[in-house]
Amino acid sequence: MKTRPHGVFIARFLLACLLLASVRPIHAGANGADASWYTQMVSQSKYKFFTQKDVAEPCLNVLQSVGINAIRLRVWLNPTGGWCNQADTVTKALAAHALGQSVMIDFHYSDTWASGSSQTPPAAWKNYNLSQMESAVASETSSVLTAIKNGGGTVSWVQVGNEINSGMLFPIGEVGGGGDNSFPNLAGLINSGYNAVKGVFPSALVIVHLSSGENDSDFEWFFDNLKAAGGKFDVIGMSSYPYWSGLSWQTQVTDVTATMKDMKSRYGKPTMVCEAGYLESDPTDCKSYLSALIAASNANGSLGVFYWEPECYGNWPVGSNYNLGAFTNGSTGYGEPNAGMNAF
Amino acid sequence: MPKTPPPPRRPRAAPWLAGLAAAALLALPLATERIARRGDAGAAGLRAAPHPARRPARQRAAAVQDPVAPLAPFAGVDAEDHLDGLRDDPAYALAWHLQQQRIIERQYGHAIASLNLPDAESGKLFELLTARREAVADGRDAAQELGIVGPEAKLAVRQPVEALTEEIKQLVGPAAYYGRIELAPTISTCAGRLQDNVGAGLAAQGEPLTTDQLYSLAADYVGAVYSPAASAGPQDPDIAGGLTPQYRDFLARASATLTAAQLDAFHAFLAEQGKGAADPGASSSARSPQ
Repeated sequence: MKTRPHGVFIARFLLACLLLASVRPIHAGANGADASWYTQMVSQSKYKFFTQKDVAEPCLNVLQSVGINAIRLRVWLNPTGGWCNQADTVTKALAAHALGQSVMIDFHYSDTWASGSSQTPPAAWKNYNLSQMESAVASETSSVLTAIKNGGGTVSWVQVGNEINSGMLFPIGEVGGGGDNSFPNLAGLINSGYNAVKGVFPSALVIVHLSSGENDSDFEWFFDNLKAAGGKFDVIGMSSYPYWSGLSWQTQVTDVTATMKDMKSRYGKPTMVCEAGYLESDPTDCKSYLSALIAASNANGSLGVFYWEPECYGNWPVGSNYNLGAFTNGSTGYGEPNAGMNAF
Repeated sequence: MPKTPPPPRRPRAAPWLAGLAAAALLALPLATERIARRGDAGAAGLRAAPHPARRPARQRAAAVQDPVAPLAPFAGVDAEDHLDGLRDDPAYALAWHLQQQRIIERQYGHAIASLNLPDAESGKLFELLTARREAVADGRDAAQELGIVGPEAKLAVRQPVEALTEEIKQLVGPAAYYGRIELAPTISTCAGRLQDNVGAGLAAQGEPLTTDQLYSLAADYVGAVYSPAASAGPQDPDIAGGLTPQYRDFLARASATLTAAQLDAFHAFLAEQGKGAADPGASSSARSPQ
């Protein structure tokens, strides 16, 4: 019996790899989704999720079926109702980890939504001074991440603060009030979180996340000041929503690309689109927008694109009906990913 | 057109505080003054220059043909966009409003002038763009006062902004809106950076770019390097020339407006940049923080 030389085998193996690489687009970055709402949707309101082939699956599996390989989870300290607290977040993080999805934890350092000019500290921290607040940030960060680690999970990225264009943990960490004197405070708070992250997951990347990725000058102002104040970060995160900016999706992607290039060039740090979204009612344009955004992300060394709460459909959340989800009432009558999600 | 700046769209100060506001205007280190202190002569010129839309059409046309010597100072003014935290101070309301006008002038001034609208419409467009910028801060504050957070707070900002955008589209028409206005801030920023990175050297060599050339180049650059189509194509520079396909596309577009010497300067600079990671349309990392 003839034996084939090793060289031929290796050559065939390399050729096969090359062929595989050529038929499947290489996505350098994470294809992500923030799915923080899903446990509440399922447990509280009995929402169900189906794949595009009408197969009932858990929400994270459905997301995985359209190419989502990373999950972002927001965490609040003592939220009303308990959803998105530490226990709920750990449950979701471990579920994603079990599926092989990478995990991002998004610390709001609040009992409720923290974004833009709403950055209310948790009630339990209300009267803390800067030093106490720094300790609290470290403790909360470490506590959540350690719980995930103890559960056998891991975390790839951690956001220290959410959309903190004006700072976080107001008023101690607020910036932009004139003179920018509070950037040292903000840097102290961010560094407390940064050090706590590295203490639990040394290889996790720490993201500082701002809204409005289309506004490059906002990013320059913020990161110039943060850097000058000694703030530490590994990744520059941004949100990108044509709906909120009022721009066409083409202009949105153009502007976000300019920001990505500038941030990389100016600070030598990679970027990441930590939140993106489009009108649920227009899946065709949603797909065009996401495809262009992912291409821009890959072309500019960005670490990935996360769709924010795509699993929303129907009247969720009860009372406000968020209209930038990417699931639709499919043929089963329950939620399934719309065509926009096929961009991932 | 009024010769003096219009009053704040939503006055926050009582009339008797007008004097205080005027005093604040004199005392506060506004954008142009800060830049002037840094020795940027071009920046100092910004304060004296009225908005192009407020100038007679003939004067406006002449202005855009001028060489770029006193070009608006793009680098270094970004920090001045971020003083919203002071706007609720009654003494600062007028100063804040004037600051918003300056920002709109910097971002949209050339685009507005390029539309060649009648003076009344130019003025209206300028006011609508300023109002839209201020509506963002208004909506944000209103949401905060009412305790609205999360996605609903973003809605509170979006609704007034959307209404003003519709008004702007109706005023200039959809083609001009999407063709000239929507990308104007990015083009304006890019123009400043191209001037910093290449234009200044050309001026020193006796080959200055005109304002129109610069904005035309910036529009070409944004289209060739930042647009979705640019990201969709290959990104690696060719081995021999060091130019990415995007830079080659930009130079092809730019060749229509540049002299041979200017084109050579851009080619040399882009080839050099193409070898490294830096984007010449991006800001300089060497710039000191505000």
